Amino acid sequence: MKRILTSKKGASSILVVLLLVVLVVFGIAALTTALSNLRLGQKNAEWSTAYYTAEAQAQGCYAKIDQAVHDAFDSDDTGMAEAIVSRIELLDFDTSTEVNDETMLISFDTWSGDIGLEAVLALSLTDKDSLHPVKWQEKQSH
Amino acid sequence: MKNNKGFTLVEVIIAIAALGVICAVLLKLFVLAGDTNKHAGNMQEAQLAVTSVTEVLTSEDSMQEALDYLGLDAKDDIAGSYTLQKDSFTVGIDIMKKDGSYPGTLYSLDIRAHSGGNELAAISTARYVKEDAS
Repeated sequence: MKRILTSKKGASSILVVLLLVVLVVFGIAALTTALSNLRLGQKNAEWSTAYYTAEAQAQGCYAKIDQAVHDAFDSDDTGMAEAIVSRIELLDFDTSTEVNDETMLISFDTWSGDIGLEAVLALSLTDKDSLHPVKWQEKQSH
Repeated sequence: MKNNKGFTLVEVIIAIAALGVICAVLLKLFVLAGDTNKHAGNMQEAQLAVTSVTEVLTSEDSMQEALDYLGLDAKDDIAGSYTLQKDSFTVGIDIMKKDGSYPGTLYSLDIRAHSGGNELAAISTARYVKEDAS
């Protein structure tokens, strides 16, 4: 037993094996970190693509609502709020409206995958050009 | 009696060659990690460039002001292709007017970052602008 413990045979082999193990461990660690970095970048790019797709849909909805508001103002209908709501209900997306005094709030959501955008537009019922966003923000999940 | 027998030259050369091959394979891991990191960094920087241009185009009061802010000469009806240099990337911007009769103008925006002929990031979105209405 003592002979085994004091023998120097195979010492360089152990050093070489240790060197290889260290190289393998550091190599795999470096590669794993780099791949995580790449995945993070890809996720960031996917999020941006989805967010701006939802934004594009929301901008399209904003344009359609603006058109509906102008149609209502240009019509002979009495009761401006009702005229606007009836036209907005004909649009191809879900909206909710709320009237406070002379102001109407129009809300809608758009989605692209799990990324959503919540928008609220405000309109003065005495000015057809007053439609403007008061809330335009990302929604976390369905 | 002490054994002083060593290795032959051929044995030593074979051992060094075998170790060299194994080390070369392992060192390639580091080179691969470096390349992957460089690519990931480029991708993230390109995404940042595209996002910042998109934010300018979607947040300024009008498209004219947005293009002015980016240092681009706006075309007569805004729509068209523009190119600008941002950091080490060439950013291409395609602005088109979307069909539809709206009180304002609905633009579709296509923003892409290239480097060395490769497209690294792209964003497609839209913007409704009331101020640019003719």
